Amino acid sequence: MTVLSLIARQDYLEKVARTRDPIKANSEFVWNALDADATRISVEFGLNVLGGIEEIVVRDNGIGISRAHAERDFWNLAIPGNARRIERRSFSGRCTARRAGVGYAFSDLHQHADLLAVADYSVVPEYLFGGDGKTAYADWYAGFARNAITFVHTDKSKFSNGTSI
Amino acid sequence: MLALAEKHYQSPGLEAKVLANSPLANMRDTETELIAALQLGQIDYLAMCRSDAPQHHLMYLDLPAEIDLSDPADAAAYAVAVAHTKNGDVAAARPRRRGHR
Repeated sequence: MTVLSLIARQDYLEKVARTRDPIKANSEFVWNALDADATRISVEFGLNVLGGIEEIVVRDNGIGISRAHAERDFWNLAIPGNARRIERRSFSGRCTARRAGVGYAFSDLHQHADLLAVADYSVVPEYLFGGDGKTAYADWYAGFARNAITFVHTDKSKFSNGTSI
Repeated sequence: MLALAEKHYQSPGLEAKVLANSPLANMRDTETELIAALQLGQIDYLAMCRSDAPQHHLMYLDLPAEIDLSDPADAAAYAVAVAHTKNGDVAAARPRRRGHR
């Protein structure tokens, strides 16, 4: 078994701790196990000397994930959701920026990027152009693909007459 | 989008009527769950990005550019439509462009 050490950043802990429904939060772990084809799932509550819950351990025999996937997916735990709070430089000193998803590949892998494609054009001017004392990481961007919002339906939907597919 | 449709089709009250027919019970946590609800016939129509429709083998309505947020040149016209969230945030409609938020 491979053991990965993952350190969750404080703001991530604050975010997940805000949940108002601890049962639902725990059930999410159980669902994750079921999604991974687990046939055995245990939820263990560790009590402290006063009888309060000190730890919750969810174990399952699901298929698990590769080390590469774990490192990729769980990096999110360590990424603050707000780029304003973070400024980083790569090993060679070039500026990198990151936000949940933005610039993540080159900042975390310490690689340079001459071109960055993002799924939200607004984050470029908002987070990467600098201003207000923030570091500028980019000075240009261009839209290169469009999408449209629509209503999707099936042939069983009310009033559906087989409109385009 | 509904506000833009109401304006485009000059059909006052269209947005309110559609929303009135979309009870909170239809709400799901994720788009994946909404798609499942659509395929099971629990809901009839679901708003989402057109590029996602083919991969889920869903049919979709071909809406005019005045409504479908597809044309960056119409950004100012789209921005008149705003969505109010429960926590008080106000989000204005923006062109759907790679990438969209």
